[in-house]
This record gives sequence, C-alpha cells and structure tokens, in this order.
Amino acid sequence: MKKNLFRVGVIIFSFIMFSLSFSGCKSKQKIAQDQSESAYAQKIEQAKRDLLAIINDQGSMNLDEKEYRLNAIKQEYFQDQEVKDLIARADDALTVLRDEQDAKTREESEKQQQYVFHKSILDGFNAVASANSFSQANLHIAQALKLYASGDIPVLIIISQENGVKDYDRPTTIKKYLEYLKDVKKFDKGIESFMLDNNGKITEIELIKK
Amino acid sequence: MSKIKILLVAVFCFSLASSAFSQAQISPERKRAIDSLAIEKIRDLSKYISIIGSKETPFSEANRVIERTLELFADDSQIGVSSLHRTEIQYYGVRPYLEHLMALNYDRVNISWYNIQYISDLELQPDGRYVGVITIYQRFEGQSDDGLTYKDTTKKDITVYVERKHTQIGGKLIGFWDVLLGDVRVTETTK
Repeated sequence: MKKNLFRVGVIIFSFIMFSLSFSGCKSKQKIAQDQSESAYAQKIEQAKRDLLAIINDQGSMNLDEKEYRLNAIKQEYFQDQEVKDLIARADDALTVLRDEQDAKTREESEKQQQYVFHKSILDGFNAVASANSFSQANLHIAQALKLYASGDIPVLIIISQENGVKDYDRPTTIKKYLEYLKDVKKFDKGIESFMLDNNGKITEIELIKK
Repeated sequence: MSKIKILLVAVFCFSLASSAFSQAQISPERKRAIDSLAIEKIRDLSKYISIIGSKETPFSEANRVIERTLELFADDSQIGVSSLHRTEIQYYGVRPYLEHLMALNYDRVNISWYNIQYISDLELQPDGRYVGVITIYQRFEGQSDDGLTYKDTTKKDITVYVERKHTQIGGKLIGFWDVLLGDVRVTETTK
C-alpha cells in the first residue's frame, strides 16, 4: 500500500514538474517572440528616421551616402506601408538630386571645355600676332586653324554695345582674321563668345574691342 | 492699284526716313566707336602699305596684302603720288598704285605713317552715310645698293565713308559699320 502511494506521489510530482517546465518553455518562446517583434518595430522606426533624414537632408549627407542608406533599407524588404511610401519619396528625392548633380557636372565640364578653348584661341591669336616672320606666322595660322570647323567660319568684332544693341565691324572669316593679325602684328581684342559643333570645332566667334 | 502704289511708296519713304533718323540718333559713345574704327582702318592701311613696299616681303605675301588693301577701299578710289622732283601729282587707281609700290626700283624701302588724325569729323550725309577726312603723314625712304637714295615726307588726306549695313550670319541679322576709304589726296610734299 505504502509502495503504491509512493508511486502515485512520484507520478504526480513528475506530472507537476513536467507541467511547470512546459509552461516555462512556453513563456520563454513568448519572450523571444516579443523581443523579436520589438526589434523589428525598432528597425522599422529606424528605417523611417533614416528615410526622413534622406528626404529632408539639407546637405549633411552626400548623394552616395544617401543612396547607400536607401539601398540598405530596401534590402530589408519591410512590409510596413509607411516605410514603402517613404522609400518612394526618397527615391524621388534622390532622382532630383542625381539630375541636379549631373547637370552641375555637365555645366562644370562645359565651363572647363570653354576655358580650354578660350585659352587656346587667345594663344593662337597671340602667337600669330607676335610671330617674327611671315613663315613663322603661317605655321601658327595653320596650327590655330585646327580649332575651327573651317577657314571660312565667321568672325564678328563688336566695336560697341549699348542697351543690348551690338555694333560690329565688317564681318570677316577666321582665315582672313588670322592673316590680318599676321600683317598688323597686334591682337588687342577679347573673346565675347564662340560656338562649337558636334566635333568640338569652332563654327562662329565673336570678339570685342578692349 | 494706284492706291497700293502710293502706299508702297509711302512705306518705302517712311523706312528710309526712319533709317536716317535712327542713324542720326547715334549716341556719342557709338559715334566714338565709329570714329575709332575708321582710324583703325587707316592704321591697317598704313601697315599694308609698309608690307607691300618692303623688299623683305615675299612676293606671295605682298600679293595677298594687295587683295586685303583693295577691300579697304571704295570702288574707283584713287591714290595720289607726288615727288620732290616734280610739281604735279599723279593719281592712280588703288590696284595700279599698290602694284607700282611693290615694284619700286629700290633695294630697301621703308614707309611709315604718323600723326594720323581727323581733319574733318565724320558727319552724317543725306544718303545715310557718314563722311569724314583723316590726314596722315607718310615718311618714305628708298635706298639702292648703288647708293641711290630718295626720301620724302608727304601729307595725305584720306576720305572715309562709314555706312550702316546688315548681313545674315548663322540665321542672325548682324548690323555692322562698313568703313570704306575713298581718294587719298597728297596735300604737301617735303624733304
């Protein structure tokens, strides 16, 4: 009898222990799940903050950094609708920024090209005007003409301008103008403007009396 | 039909009048620019004459410069030639004068111009052109290897015509001042 009671007691104790351990495991899972959900929520909040920072940034981040952070967020594949909307807005903002940066780069490249041409044109004119002989001047003319689409491109010389109206000297061609510099041995004009064709050759040049 | 003709004539007269009026309205600054442009053309002529006359100038270059010089002059302009050895002044067309200058029978020729200035300011004429007279002094020195030397200084008056013209370049209408030189008259010849 005593033996039976002992067995029943062991069984009941085991059952209680099993129940206790099972419920403990269950609560651990719950904690883990809660922790996971909380971490995900935090990640979403961080993503939103990052996206807003990208959208509203006033210059503290450069474009590469913004693109890196946006791509990192995209790779998380968040299903949160607000995050998705913010990603779309950030994409738009970066497109605008990229276009602005491309335009700026193009503008700087054009400025640089203009500067190089400007200097080459002036160097060509000065070289011809300061040549010591006709043969030397002719070599400089041949060299200078390489900048132009042809020897016949027009050269316009502004002699005065007033209220937006420009007064010119009689138009000439670049070949004649270079020969003129060879003859008078003096170049005293500035470059007002010039136009380039698709081959990077000058098709029209406007000079101005200094 | 006759009304249309009258209208066309009226429009033509109006455009002429407005053109002359607009030219008469030139500001002092624009006028100065035109004055200066005409003087510059005379300086260019001075350089060209010196190049053509110089015996150091290659033949091809002298011929090229003759063509450039001709572009400076109005058609039928004449250039006077004087000498210390005769009293009369002979007048030549521009091309014959320049060709004669290129072929002068000296071994060294030096020509320089100085005191270039207006003696009669550019004035607007009824035909819309500006006309003025610029005077220059020319120092001529010719030397031959056999010791023959001729030197003189001549004072010359050059008539200058300036006209407003338009041309189309690259689809743009360009308004420019066309300076043309007229007769070159010798007024004084000294040693």
